[in-house]
Amino acid sequence: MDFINLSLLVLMTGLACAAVFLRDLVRSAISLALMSALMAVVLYRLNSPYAAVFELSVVAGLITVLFVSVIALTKEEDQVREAGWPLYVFPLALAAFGLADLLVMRALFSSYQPAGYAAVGESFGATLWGVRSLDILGQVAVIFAGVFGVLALLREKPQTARQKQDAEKAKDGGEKLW
Amino acid sequence: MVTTYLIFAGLFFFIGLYALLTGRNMIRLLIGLEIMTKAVVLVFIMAGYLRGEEFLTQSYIITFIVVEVTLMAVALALVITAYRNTGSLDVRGLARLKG
Repeated sequence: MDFINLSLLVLMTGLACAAVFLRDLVRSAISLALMSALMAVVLYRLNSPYAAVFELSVVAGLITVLFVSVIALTKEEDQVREAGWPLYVFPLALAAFGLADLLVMRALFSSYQPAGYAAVGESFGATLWGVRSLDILGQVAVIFAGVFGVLALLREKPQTARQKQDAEKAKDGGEKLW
Repeated sequence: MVTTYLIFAGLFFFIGLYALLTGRNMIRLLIGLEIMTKAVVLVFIMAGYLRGEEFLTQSYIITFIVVEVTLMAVALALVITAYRNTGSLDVRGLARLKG
């Protein structure tokens, strides 16, 4: 493992902690976007350029836009007060988990070595459209399910006849006043 | 070398899980979920790198990202709906919902 990738992973860990513990949600979302951008660089450096492009454009871009939009739709003064103890317990918990993680991963995977040869198959396009063509259909179905899910959740409640009359009366009253 | 990536993947997963378990703000919970997905992507890409099957794992990751975006969109729509109903982003408010 080279120094650049190690630095990127350490930076990503810091940004993940920032995303979780920063009080301002917009800053948290930006930390997450930066983490995704660094992840894209790591993917690119591990011979996966197509996944890197998707990570950068969709995860770092689109999901951040979604987060910022939702943060903007909710009022600033309604921000939830988080409990104080998770911030103080976190360094200890992270250190304990990190140690256990180190021991387990070393015991399980230290003998594994990279294949050391170029990717198998004709090209990425042949793999995506040939080997996994049915999955593309599944992805389209998932996107449609998501779109209709969002539409169903965010639809406006239809007004009853009484509500319409009240709204018209209020409008007329307003016009008479003017 | 491989071990180091997997250790970091474990750390990302832990940070995300910690946010999910201790957070109260619904948006922050989703941020935690998003951090956990980074761990999954890293493990996937390491598997491909190890076996020399980068094309296949990249296509898996693209599918995973599509599902992830859809999940986030629906989850954020649910957050907005919950905010309209309870007037707060506090996840504990959802325990009081009825019907």
